[in-house]
Amino acid sequence: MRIIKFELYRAFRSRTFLISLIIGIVICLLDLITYCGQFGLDGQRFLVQAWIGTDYQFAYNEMFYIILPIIACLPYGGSLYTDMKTGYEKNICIKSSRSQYALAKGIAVFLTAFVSVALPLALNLFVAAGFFPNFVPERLEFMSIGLRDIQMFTLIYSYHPAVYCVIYILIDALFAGAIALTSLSIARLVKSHFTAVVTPMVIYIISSMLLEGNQNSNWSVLGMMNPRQYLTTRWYQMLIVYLVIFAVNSTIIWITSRKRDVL
Amino acid sequence: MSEIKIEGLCKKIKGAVILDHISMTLTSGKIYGFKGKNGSGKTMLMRAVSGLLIPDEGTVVINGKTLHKDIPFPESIGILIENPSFLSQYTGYKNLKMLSSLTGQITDEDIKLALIRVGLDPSDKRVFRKYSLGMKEKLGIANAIMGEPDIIILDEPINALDEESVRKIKDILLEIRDKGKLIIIACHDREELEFLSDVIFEIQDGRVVDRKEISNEDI
Repeated sequence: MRIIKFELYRAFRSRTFLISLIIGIVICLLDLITYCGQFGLDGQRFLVQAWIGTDYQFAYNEMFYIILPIIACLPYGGSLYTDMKTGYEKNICIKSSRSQYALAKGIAVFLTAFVSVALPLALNLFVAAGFFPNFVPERLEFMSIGLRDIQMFTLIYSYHPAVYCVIYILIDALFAGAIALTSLSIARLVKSHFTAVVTPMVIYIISSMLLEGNQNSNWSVLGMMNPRQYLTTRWYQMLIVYLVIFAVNSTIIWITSRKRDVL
Repeated sequence: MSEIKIEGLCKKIKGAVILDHISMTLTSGKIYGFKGKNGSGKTMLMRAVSGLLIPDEGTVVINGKTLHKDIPFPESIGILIENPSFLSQYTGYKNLKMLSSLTGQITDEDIKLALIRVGLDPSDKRVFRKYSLGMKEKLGIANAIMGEPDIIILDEPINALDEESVRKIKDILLEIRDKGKLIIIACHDREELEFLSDVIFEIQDGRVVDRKEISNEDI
């Protein structure tokens, strides 16, 4: 559909998408530089230890996962609010139906968030792979608490650590897409572009604190996105939480877009 | 040939009556003027005809197809309602090119022609945020007329324009009307509205209180 192409063009050429990518890449590269500076390149460290997703030595891992909702929403999440506020959506809604417009917005927001999160994590992994060998480390060595059998992808983590990293890059990017849809679903409730972009982070931090649970069961979104798995998440918990976020946001966007006045 | 049939159109927003049982028939080859005080319902009626406003009661039928039932938006329409709004980081030409990509029916030549007609340079490298108020208004008009859609709706199109530009826009509108298009305009300037319009509807409190055919002798 033409409207999807139109929205994707706007989204991927926006300055906010570039800013978001830069923020993510800077954090990921700083982590790697700090890691190399601290531990050197003596061959004693492995790829999976140096990758930002599983690196527990420095604060960059926490930093990245806490601001992940911002990295996801910043590229294009506030665009619906801006289109409504400036009246630009009038230009679109006389050439496209409201439901098509909402679908195109959703796809553009999802994909920009996906790329904004996946690219820095993948770049960090790629660059780290140039310095650190992809050895299989002792099972209990790679993380502060080690990986237990009840945690997800344990075997992949133990025998194919690089694949484990790639799986988590995809999981994080998919979660980022679903989280970014929140900024679209709240666009009609907020009073500024800033609020539309920042509110999802507030929602996910608060909900994650409330749902953190314990080391054996976790419903916290921010906790389950972290490849360090400092909280044990079962696959069904991750699937349920993802589907709930995606379904709730999609339903709100669909209901509020379908029959509404463009003023 | 286009025909717009509005029947019993009603709309309330936050309890306030915006449109109150409006009925009218508009046919192509004419310019219709909407006259009325601020808040009388002119702009809302234009929004309803454009498909932007969903009525509580009544219908807008365009060429036999009911808006929001048979079609989600008019098939061939150009509008300038309230402030022209475009993407601030792109040039005027780029903005129109992007919007034209939504239908795929407007060529690059159509876009350039529309810009030249309103007095803008298609090769101007300035981005929209650097435009003056008059240039923004002209770009809004160019957006509405590019590709010469069957229905053109212009709300206060000459507000920010100088005399020469106003003359130019008037000529363009008359030329487009003579090609058989249907034009609806709202304008505060009574003389300009009477000069341009073939029929004037006076709107008060969301209702049509008068309909006047304008003949050459009236001007």
